[in-house]
Amino acid sequence: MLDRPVSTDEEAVPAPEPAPAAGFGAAGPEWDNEPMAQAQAAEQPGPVEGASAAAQHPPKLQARHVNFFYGDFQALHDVSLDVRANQITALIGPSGCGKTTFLRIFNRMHDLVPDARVTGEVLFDGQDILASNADVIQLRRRVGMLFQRPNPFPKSIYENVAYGPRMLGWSRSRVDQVVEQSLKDTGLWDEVHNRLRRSALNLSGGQQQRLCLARALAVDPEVLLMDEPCAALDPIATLKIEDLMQQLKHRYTMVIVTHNMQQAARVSDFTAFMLMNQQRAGELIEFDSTDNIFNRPKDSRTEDYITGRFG
Amino acid sequence: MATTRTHFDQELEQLKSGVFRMGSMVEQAIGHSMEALVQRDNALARAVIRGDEELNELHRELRERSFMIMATQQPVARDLRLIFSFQHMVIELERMGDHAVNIARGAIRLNDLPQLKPYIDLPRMAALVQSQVHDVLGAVIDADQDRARKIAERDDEVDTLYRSLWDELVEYMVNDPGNVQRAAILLFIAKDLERIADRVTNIAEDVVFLHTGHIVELS
Amino acid sequence: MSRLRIREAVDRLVAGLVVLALMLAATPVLILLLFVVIKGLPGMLAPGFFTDLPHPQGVPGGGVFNAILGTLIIIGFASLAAVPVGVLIGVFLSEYGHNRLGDTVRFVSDVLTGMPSIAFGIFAYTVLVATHVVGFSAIAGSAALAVLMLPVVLRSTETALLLVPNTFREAGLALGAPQWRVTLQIVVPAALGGIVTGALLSMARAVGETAPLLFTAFGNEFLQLNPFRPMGALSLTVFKNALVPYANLQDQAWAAALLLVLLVSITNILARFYVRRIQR
Repeated sequence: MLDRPVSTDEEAVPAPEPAPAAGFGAAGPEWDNEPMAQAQAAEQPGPVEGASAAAQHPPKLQARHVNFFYGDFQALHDVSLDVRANQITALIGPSGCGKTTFLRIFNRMHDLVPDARVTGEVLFDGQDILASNADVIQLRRRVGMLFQRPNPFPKSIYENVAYGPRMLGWSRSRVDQVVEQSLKDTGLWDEVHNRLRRSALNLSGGQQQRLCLARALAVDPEVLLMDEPCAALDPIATLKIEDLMQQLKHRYTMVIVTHNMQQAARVSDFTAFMLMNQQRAGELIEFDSTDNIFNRPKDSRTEDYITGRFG
Repeated sequence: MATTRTHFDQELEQLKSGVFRMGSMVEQAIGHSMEALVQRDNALARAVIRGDEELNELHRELRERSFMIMATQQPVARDLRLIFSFQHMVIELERMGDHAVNIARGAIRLNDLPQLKPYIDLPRMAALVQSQVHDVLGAVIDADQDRARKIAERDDEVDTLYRSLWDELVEYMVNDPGNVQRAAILLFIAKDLERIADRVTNIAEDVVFLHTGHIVELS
Repeated sequence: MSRLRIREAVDRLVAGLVVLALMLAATPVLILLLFVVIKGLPGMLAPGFFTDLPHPQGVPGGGVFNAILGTLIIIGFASLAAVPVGVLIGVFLSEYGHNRLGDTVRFVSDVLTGMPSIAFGIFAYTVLVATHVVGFSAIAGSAALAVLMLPVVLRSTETALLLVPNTFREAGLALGAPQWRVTLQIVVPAALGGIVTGALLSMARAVGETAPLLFTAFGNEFLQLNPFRPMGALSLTVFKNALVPYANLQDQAWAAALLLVLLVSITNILARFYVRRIQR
């Protein structure tokens, strides 16, 4: 516990960029308010220190006053936050606070729900993905997703990973190459390379989830959305996924919904805490560097939640 | 906030009350050691030395307790800070107890010798340090970081007194080599008091950290 | 302690009742099967049953060669029409049919399922035969059976597709696949076992139907392979031969009934076997 504040984790990652957040001990009061300010008002140039971090990790996804409705029921109320490029952003909060709903807006999976309606803006590299003329197919290729339960297709291991690349019409040799690379990226290659034609359903839960990750990586996305990706996995498999997240961070922007606060603390750079308001609509309570959220949250509701005094 | 972690909260309460108890023991030890010096009371001095074992035992127990809580409860935020700062306080209090023992030992040695001079500045310094110890423990109990900051500011007075005592005692030594042994012992006692005051500042810093999450330097 | 006794006694009583009910339900089925086997086996083992054409009444011997071929042809054409259409409608209902159109289709299909099978025969007769579109013919019989099979195929297809976990669809869509691709390449293959089973079961149901064929395929004592002509079928053989006072023909009726039972059973077993292989 003690040796695992997020910033120390970052230093262990072989990412080319330097860790953005200062360590536990180095955080002085003068630095204190900056990540929040950058995160919530990224269009304004931050102070000197913040500016370099902002340049290194510009906002990849920007939610602006997002409201979400299922029919008449409002599930999200005025949520605004920036997801920074090549950083891991965790969404935490009690069940029903709308974090999964919010996550699924980023690749418009809510389109599948009849009666779902969103207002506000979600900018992806500056383009509003909620606009009626936005190309949803293209969006979903660029914003991949990993689900709560491993959901490999009932096909072979190879077919699972090759599905996306084939759909994009890539050549056979390129598909082969991408399958191998994706399986290597997820640490599966050594485990499965001699049984690629076997059914994916014979893999263990942890392997299945890494296969799903490989399948998502195969179409070369820019963002990965993860909806409680370790909820169905044992601790070892969970740590493997977390390890992969750190390894892949320099190539992808990641957003993870998790019920496991320790997981959020371990893997993420930024943490958003959400809560249901009186009308049962999810609201963003606090969004800050993970270091600040878990060491010195500003909102007492955040503190109550992360210290387990809530719900 | 409503507690959904009753057991955890109980463990934290036990830790807290242990630290408070240790604080009052240390405060008493410092008072008794100075009294043993001024009153030339060897029995009291020996009582302080014996009492240190109990302090050491409590120190060990409280540190084990905090490790156990960290290992089993995965505290974060204010809980983590509480355990961290209390753990550090426990270490400082244990050292303060050692300083009291040093003073008591010095008192026993001085009590065999004729008094060098009337004790004026030393008891003044001791009184100041004692009030600091008392106040900072109050700030810990009341969780009052503003008071903690103010207490830390009083360290300057102690330093001033320490410097003037130093000059005075050095003068004694220079004037008469026969004074050297006694003056040196008194010098060490003054040094112990000065160190106790430094540790008071450290504890005040812990109080601030506990409430803000920021590690500050209060001096 | 005594309470426990009472509970145990009640437990045993209920278990006994369940077994009794099971036996009550199973007994007629077993008796029926036994009866068909005992009565049908001699006719089936008679020389020429599978290979000869029917002999005129009063002439001993003869077989149902034409009826076997007729049944296969009629069911074949019916399946050719009903299975693809039914599967397509089932896919539509499951993947796109969560609206009023889907509900309407579902309602119509339920009505069709509940309709007496002779109604399909009269319907096909009125539309195809009486109007001389095709006249009495195998194809008219196929049409009647196809309409009868349709609701079975489409509802079993829909059920099979609904059983495919939604996470497969989400996984496909989240990769940027358009919905038609996800449906055809992921959802339908995942449900293939259920779809094939549904199709086979609908065929099994149709193969034993007599009523829809009476006014359509009509029956034929001679070998006829032209689907636009009247054609014999096993169910028609059972119906017609059971009513004549000649022992050899009655035996053939029983034998044809047994053959139908065997066909249906084999189809069912095939379906199960196939599903198990798919699921592995």
